Amino acid sequence: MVDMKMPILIVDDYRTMLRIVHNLLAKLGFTDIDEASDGSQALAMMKGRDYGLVISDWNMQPMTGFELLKSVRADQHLKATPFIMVTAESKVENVVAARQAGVNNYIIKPFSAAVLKAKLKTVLGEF
Amino acid sequence: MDDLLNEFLAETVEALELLDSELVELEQRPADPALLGSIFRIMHTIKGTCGFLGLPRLEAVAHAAEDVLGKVRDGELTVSADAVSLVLAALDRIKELIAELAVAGQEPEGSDDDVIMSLRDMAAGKWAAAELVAEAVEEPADLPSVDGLYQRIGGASLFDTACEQACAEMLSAVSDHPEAETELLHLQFALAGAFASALTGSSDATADIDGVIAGLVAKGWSPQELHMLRDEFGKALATLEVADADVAAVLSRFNVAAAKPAAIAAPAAQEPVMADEPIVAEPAAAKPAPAKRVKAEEPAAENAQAASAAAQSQTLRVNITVLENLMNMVSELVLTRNQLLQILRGVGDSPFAAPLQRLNQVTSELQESVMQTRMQPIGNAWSKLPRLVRDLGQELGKKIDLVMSGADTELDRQILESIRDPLTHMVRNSGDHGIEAPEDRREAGKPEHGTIRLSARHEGGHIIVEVSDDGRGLSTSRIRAKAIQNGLATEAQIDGMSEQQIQQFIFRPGFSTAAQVTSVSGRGVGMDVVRTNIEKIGGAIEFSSTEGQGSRFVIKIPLTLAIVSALIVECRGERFAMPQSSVVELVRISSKSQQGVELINGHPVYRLRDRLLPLVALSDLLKIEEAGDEPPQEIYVVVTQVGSFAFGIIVDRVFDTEEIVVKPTSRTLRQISLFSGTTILGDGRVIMILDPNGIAAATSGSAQSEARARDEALAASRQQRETVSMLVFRAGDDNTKAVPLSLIARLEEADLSNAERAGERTVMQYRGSLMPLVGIDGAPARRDGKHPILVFTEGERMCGLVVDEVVDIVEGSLDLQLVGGAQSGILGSSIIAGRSTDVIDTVHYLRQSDAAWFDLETREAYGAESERRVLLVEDSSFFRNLLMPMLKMAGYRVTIAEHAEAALEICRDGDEFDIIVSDIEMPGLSGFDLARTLRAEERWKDVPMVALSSHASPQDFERGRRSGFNDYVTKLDPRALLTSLSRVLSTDEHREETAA
Repeated sequence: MVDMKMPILIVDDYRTMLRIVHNLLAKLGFTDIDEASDGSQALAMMKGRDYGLVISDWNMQPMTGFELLKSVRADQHLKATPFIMVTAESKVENVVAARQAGVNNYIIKPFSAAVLKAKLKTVLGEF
Repeated sequence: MDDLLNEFLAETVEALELLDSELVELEQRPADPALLGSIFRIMHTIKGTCGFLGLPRLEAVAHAAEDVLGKVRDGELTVSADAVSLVLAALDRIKELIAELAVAGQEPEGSDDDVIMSLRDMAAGKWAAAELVAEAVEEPADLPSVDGLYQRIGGASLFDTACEQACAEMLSAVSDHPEAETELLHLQFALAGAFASALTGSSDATADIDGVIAGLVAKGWSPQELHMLRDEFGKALATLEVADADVAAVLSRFNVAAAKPAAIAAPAAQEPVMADEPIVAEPAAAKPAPAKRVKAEEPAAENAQAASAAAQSQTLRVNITVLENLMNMVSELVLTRNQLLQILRGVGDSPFAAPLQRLNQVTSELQESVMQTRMQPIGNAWSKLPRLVRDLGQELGKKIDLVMSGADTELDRQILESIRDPLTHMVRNSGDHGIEAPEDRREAGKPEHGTIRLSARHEGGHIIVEVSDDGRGLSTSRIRAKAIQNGLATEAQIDGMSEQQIQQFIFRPGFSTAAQVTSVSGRGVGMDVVRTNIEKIGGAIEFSSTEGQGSRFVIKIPLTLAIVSALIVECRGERFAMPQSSVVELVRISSKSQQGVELINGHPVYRLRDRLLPLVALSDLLKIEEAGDEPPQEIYVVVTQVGSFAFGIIVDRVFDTEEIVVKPTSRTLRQISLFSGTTILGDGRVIMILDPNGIAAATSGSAQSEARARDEALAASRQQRETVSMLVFRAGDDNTKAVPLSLIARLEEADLSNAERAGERTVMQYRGSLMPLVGIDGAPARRDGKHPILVFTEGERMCGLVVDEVVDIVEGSLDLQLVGGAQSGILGSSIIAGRSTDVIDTVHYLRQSDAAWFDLETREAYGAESERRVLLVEDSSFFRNLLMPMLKMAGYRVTIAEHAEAALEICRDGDEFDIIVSDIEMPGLSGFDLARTLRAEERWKDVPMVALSSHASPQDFERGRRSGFNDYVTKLDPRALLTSLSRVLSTDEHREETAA
């Protein structure tokens, strides 16, 4: 079972997107959601707190989601953190690259709560 | 959700502004991956966010633009002007939609197919020429609507997720299936893309469903497996909350059976294509590029941006009204503080002194901090300019670089808003009128690229903004012609003006130099509006230009409007604040002498150095009743400058200058334009702040405009007659008098003891004949000792005017304020060397010396035995007054016309003239025009005409002759005129006789 109280970190440099993802997660029943505005901030936050899931935008500045993913996977303590990449570009080669870098799944923007839920299920299991 | 929409709007508008300038930069630096990445990212984010918010139009436009940018990023398209224009067009559409969204809360109805189709053509590499746009507009009719089923049930992410689930199910169900995970991923994408293509009709999908199925068949998938895939896909859709009917509609596209014949009919030859193409979306070579490029942008930008990101998290968004309120309250606090300090000053030793001192300090700091929150970098007002210049260059076929410096210079946002439009207008003007076409620049030996420079810097309590270009500069001749054409000045007035003065005409209302009204400039907003707007906020604008090298505007604006320095004045016991920025100087006039205050047409003016300064009494303006007590011993004139219009405001007392907090006038008083606001003085008194613009407006149309016109005429004529030499002398009383040097034959000094007194006359031997001597009163001179004598001659005769002292010979202007008449011996008065000086009438003295004898003799001298009728056309009163008595004395009957039009009227009324004497430079029709017109009329074709001009070069002479003048003489030499008249008339008679 998925712990609905587990801390989730969402990362996006567009505030509107952060709010949208935040709202969708809340709708699915998650209660502990932190936000970061880019990869480096997210990395710093992850070092300070154990997150049950990271949902990160791919395209950010200065540190992209892809860079964040690689840093997370390269870090002994963080590498097991489930990581979902959000992208607006449905390009198979990007997804393949992300998979190779160790992403658990990806979501193409825009998405509904149902889609998010389906994706979360593939990563976290039934809930 | 409304909140979310608002946040989206604010964030997106910000992003779009950045995008505008970045795109323009991209055109200049197409190879910059960081720049490209940043632009792509913004468009990408907009697209992504719009999908969530249910904004299909915005999403579709952003998507299409992103595709083009993506192709550029991937190296499939090059950055061309067309590509940038197209993306900018998309950007414009997005802005329009955003604007409507902000107003209505939802996207407006309508289609963006025009923009989208053009972008798609561009992305597909089909962009060749402009006709594609027209073609593309037609196309959408055949295509199914984009926001149909596909978008409604969830779009790309839904299909992607459904395909993912279906493929995952396939993988687990058919464990011995040869497909590896990565290949399933490819299948998943191919399938999702195929559905997108099938359901939206868009051309950017990689394959159609039939193609995907055929590919699977070719790879050895069995029909059962295909059915299974189809079923899993349907199940996945259902779990994603898609309605059954919609699932059926989607699945109907997945026609397993239909694929078979295609696969069979196209066996071996098609197979490899099928195997590769539909499943692997893009050519392999292009693939690694995006990832690499994304990486490439990182190292360069990382450090700086890490820092800025850190800074970003330190900022907080605050609503402007909150800041405005805060500012207001701080103003109140400042005023209260001032009052407290005032009270404290009266008390002396007080226990409140120390805490008040602290309060004072903290208040000042608080005020400064709050002011700081209102500060914005001036770059915010510039953000649209690169785009504007770029579009301008495209539209006009010019190459223009915009160089901006000092964009981080901060100033009050209120001021920022008010200079945004003027600056935009000026930059547009520079691009439109200033910068030349590339070929013209090459010819002029300049680089093809013109440069517009925009800079800002702090200087004292002001911001200096400069807009300059290296274009053609202002063509003075064109300004001159335009000014005359638009009736802003007469040819005569403008003749002697310096280049700099003529250039200032660009700030006059109704002036536009563009020979052709382009779509860019010339929309009726001129530099006068720019100047007005800048002056409204207490700023000033200066202009300089060198023809062929460019133009430069320098704008000086205050840092803030909330607190200004003001002069406190008093009128009838009431105090008023006058913004210091418009106060030029203060003049104190003792009421006893009131020296220098004169009346022109009943309106007071003050001679301040060499200017006539219109005066207006504040008490009259505000209609404050006399307090009843004695009129003040002295009055103060606050010399005020509004634009080019200087005037004096008469007040009773002048106090100190104070830093005042400007508070808006209450609503009931707001329509009174004389006040710009209110403030509270240190002693708690509420006083009104005078608005110099309002006062100028309220008084013009009466005394002010008249005095102003007069003043301008004075200034103009000063310029025009710059070559007039005047002899300044003293005679009779202490006042100086003057006479044009050209009217003096000689300057002598003689001992009057040697003069002979013959009856009523005083004469002296001079150059072999007797010369009558007169005093300044016109009577025969009765004095002894050595005196300077001004010798006037007329024909063979002369007279000597005995004066006390020759003061000077000045090279000066000559414009007469008419007084008296020929009788008084004074033509009028003129400002010479800053003083009002009487100009004497030489003819008067010649006549006085011996009227009867003189008259007779002159007539003989010029052969004017019978009275000739002369029409004198002359717009200058000075020259009319100079020439008319001269002509009359020479025996002509003179009719005056003040301008060429009047002359024509008189001529056509049936009057007969023996000769016409006409000035050349006149407002309206010139003398040349008059001559040509009259020469075309039967009755006047042979009447002799003599041209008068203040300058007579051989070219002028020739031009006059071609227009029909018989002779051409200079105005300043009346003798030459008389000689010319008699010569022309005798020739004319001779000719008539011969003809008879």
